Amino acid sequence: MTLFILRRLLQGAQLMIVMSIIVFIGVYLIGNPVDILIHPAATQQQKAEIIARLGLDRPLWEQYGQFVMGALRGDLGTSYVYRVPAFGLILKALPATMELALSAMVIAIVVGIPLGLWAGYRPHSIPAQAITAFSILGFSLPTFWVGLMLIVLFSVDLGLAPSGGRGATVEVFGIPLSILTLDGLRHLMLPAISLALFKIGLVIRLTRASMQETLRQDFVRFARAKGVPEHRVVVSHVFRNILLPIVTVVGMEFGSLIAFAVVTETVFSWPGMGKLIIDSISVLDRPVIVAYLMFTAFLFVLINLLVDVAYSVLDPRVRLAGR
Amino acid sequence: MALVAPASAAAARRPSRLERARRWAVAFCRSPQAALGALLLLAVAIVAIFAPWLAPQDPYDLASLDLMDSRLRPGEVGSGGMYHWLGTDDQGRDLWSAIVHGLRISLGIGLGAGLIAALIGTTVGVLSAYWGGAADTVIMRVVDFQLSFPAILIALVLLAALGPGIEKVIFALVAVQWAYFARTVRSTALVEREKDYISAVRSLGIGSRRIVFGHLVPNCLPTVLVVAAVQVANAIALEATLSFLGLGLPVTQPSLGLLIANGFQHILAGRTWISAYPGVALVLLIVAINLVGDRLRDMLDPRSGT
Repeated sequence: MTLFILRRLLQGAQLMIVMSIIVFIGVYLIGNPVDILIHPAATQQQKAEIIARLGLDRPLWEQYGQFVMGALRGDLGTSYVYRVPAFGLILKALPATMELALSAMVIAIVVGIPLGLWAGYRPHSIPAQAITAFSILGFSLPTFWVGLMLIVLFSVDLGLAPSGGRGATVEVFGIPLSILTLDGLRHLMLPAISLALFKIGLVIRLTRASMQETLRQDFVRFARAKGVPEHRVVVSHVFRNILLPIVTVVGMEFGSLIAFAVVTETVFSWPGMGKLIIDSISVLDRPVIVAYLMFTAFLFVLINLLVDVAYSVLDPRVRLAGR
Repeated sequence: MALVAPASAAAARRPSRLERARRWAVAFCRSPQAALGALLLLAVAIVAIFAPWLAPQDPYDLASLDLMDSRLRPGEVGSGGMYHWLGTDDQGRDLWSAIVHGLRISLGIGLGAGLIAALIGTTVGVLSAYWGGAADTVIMRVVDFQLSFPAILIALVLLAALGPGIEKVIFALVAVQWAYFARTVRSTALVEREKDYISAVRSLGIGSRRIVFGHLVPNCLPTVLVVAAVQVANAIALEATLSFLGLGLPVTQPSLGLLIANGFQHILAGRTWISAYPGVALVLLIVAINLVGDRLRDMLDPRSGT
């Protein structure tokens, strides 16, 4: 087990190195920040001074070396626009994104699993077909458009929820949270639902397929033959068996929720990491873009590692020798 | 096949190509959702192909636009006596015309990107399975590395670096999607490679190239088709999302995503139709492809039973 985790950690470290090179080179290709940051009327000398101060005059590999050394100390450069450490900006925006992504995940699980179980249990019944159709819709609706239409319906027409922002927050252990205030909850509601919709579709399809597959298994037939009441067959035999793979997949999808939050946050002006990165791309705030990408890559490596470890602990059939 | 077969029992047993196609279509439409999807897709394709004739106005021709006509509600009549049944946007552009042309761009990009990604991914996947060994390991490492990040994130980085433009969007979409084809096709090709017909072909002394492209690739095509349906729908949604975020197409080529983005600023003012209708078109397009794709998977994927 220890060896397995160590090996995965090593793989994660490799992944981070590859990512850092790709991100650095990729972001370096983005236009010249000097054009945006420096007033067009500035003299040649002023320009040179600013370029030197930002370290943009040194060769690429030297900038990369500096970037890696800094990254190891948790210093990912200073934002050109806000003039504060980029990593700090990301960390400040992190709670909002996490709150949004976690809420969306909970909604997806709470809504998706029961619907999926139902659809998988009697796949040919009318409600099951309706649920399946809904899941296809959830898959097909573009997140950003769903967000807009939710604003139209609930903010413009019904006036039930605000169209953007985070609302009042409460500090819990120094982390601001919206979910604990009524105002914050009203702000959180629409973005969380719009982000969750895609995942609800996924969870429904996954649960439905696993349910159908498990119902055909011998142990289900045996349980029925033994005279176990039907609801117990479903709850304690089938459900317990399919819960693990579903939870695993949903766990892996958490990363993509954080990525898709970019879209939802832009639509709802939710002050998280996603909105920060889009704003930063439009003004070519290179350190913030790099910091966001490195941090997200790190999150992904971490999530994948946790899911793998959890899976191997929970399911003894997974071979740890790991190839 | 080149032989002229006598009108024998063999011909009688094997129905004609047309007859097989008909039977396949009947089987396909046994699912009402799939039949609806196919019908919808056909309608959308017709609209996209004949866009210049179906649109009452050329949305690219700035001379035909009149700012006096901007933000007309659906059903209002513009200054030129033109009836705008879906209203106009803030440039005075007839929304129906813009949607018809936007549909064309969105569908074109989705199909283009899907096709190129399918070509690259299938080739890489089949070769990876055929070669095996170190090459396979390296290729699949790259694929796994890429698939461990969500598509939107990779596309975001690429487009942030490349800037907007139709060919750049297609490049980003292909760069994201080839890996899905490669991964799925490889696993199919691995199974096919072990089958008897490949051993038979090999024992005939036929070269690798013909084994790969003449035998392995054609037998992986059903898998490619299923993945392609999903990926074309994804490409369309992704392009719309990126354009909405301002990272996709330039404003001169308004795809559906860009039309929706244009209407974004008007939503809070109650002018919701500018975003709503292009979105409906986008959703219809994606739903149609997904419905058809779902049915294809049921029919072509041997693992899904039925």
